[in-house]
Amino acid sequence: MAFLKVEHLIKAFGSFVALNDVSFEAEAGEFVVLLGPSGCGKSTLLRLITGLTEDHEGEIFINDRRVTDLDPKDRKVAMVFQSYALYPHLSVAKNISFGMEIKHVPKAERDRRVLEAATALQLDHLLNRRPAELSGGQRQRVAIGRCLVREPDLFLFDEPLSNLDAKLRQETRAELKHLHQRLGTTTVYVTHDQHEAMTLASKVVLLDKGEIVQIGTPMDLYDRPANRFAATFIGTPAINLLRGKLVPFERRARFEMEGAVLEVPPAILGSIPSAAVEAELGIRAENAQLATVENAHCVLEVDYAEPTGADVYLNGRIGGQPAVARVDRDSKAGPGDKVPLRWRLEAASVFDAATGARL
Amino acid sequence: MARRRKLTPLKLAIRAFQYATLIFASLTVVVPLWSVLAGSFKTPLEYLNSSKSSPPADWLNFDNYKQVLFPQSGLPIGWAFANTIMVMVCAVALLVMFGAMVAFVLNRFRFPGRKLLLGAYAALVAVPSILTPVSTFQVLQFLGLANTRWALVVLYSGADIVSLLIFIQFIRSISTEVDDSARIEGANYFQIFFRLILPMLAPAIATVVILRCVYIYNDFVLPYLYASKPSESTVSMMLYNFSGVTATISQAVIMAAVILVIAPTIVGFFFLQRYIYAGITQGSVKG
Repeated sequence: MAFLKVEHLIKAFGSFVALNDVSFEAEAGEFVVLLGPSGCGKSTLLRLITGLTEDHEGEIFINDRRVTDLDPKDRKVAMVFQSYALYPHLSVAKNISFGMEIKHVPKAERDRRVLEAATALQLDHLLNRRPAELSGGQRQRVAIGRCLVREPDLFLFDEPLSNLDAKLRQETRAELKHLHQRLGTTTVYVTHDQHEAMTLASKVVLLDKGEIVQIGTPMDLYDRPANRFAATFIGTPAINLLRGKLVPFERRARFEMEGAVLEVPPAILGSIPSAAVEAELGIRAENAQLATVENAHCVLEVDYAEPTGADVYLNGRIGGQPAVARVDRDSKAGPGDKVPLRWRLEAASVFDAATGARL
Repeated sequence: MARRRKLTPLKLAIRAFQYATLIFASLTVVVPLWSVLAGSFKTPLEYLNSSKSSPPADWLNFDNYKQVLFPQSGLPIGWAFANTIMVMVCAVALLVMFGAMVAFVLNRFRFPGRKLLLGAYAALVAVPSILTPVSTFQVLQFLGLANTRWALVVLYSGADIVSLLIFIQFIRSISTEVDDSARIEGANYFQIFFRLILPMLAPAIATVVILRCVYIYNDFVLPYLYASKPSESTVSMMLYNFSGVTATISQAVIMAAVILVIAPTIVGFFFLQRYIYAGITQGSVKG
């Protein structure tokens, strides 16, 4: 049985359904990221797992125990909050040992565990400071230390990096990943930042409007998005969506749009449609290659170029539709140029134009 | 050297008017205080014969103070101070405890009638206080508290809407994630309140304590109505007893008593003025 099992969770606030029949599993030691836009229900899902939010349908199992009806304190979970929720009037040591004091753990044992966690997190020289005297990264480590000493089955993080500036966020993210690799504790992590999800997760649960859109490894979601939402939510710059028709021909399919007719590799389609359907071709900027006029799939009319150092993003239009292509940094293309492009179509996805579902 | 702008006649006139009003306002406060201070060192005869604002003949004449502190008959003013401190400490401790608890519950829990309850606190302000003494007295009499210091403790310990709003405002600024975190760590609501919320409320508590202590110390109406016996008197009531129609002591002695009563508030103000300003302006600037 999976280490964390969430089965058919339904949670409504009045008439608003925050989560609709959500189920997923995590194996021991996995780093699961709940990803989605604001208001998609990811934080509600996390609060249901902790038990902080009650009155829901469905079941939750942690480490072979049914915890659905248990109080937060009995679920053996530990959580790092967005604000870190440190106790400002207590020292770092007292912050870390608060839970143990509540549980009347003997002082010697408390001190030992605090020192152990503080040493692991390089906080041992800060134990007598107050949270206000710490930097953002140090506060986060204290919050993690508070979780560590509880020796929980499950670590939960609620957007812990969103209060940090860009540089510190990157450092702390690396620290988190390192820590997870070292401790191997099963972790559920909530974020709206797809970049965070891609870099940290071993499994991503993508949510939208209270429902699960797709579950998979970061690469699964990136390479084979389940629908248009998943395709556009993940990846920077956003995936190109080119509108056209998917037309069957000779047991294969062709994608026809203004300015291009592309033969779609059968491997990327679930099934060949029996008749032409309105569709969108989703293809990422890095799957473009500069081509010659003879072997080009289409021509990009460049509006502007964005050099990033390593390469150049050409922003423009294909057959009147906006598109971005990542090309070599040596490309000299500029505004007004017509650049012949060839796409790596085996990395493309085709979506139903009406429903957004993957075809 | 900094260059100064030239003063035009109009600006000069405005400046003069500003100073004149400030000086006048200061005099209205300082002159009575001066008169009381000077009077407290005069002999009874000197007090009757001299102008109210003239300095005493002998600044080292402490006879009046001796009479207030160690009277030949009746209770010393120290007794009233002890009563006042007892009432203040008990009432403010209860007020802080209950006020903070009510604010915690009103802010953190969602239950039917929550807004009604807060509204009831606010509505109490609209009830003219002159209407309630008779029924209040009957309640206190029923409880056996009428004409005792404990009547004052009970009456002052009720959280007023201002204290309550100060607490609510402050609790609102404490993230509910603190409560959530403590709940996950195994704390119950009492532990969350006493070990986390209450200590974090310290600045709000300081404000409420200062405001209520000043109010209790200065209040005359409640001691007059519910604890008028000399043995139960607070300082304001004792001053009144001194100056009552039956009092036979000199006005100069009363002046000494007034100085003794004012002194702690002035000393307290100098030490706490930072907190008093901070407390009163809190919420108006940020929140």
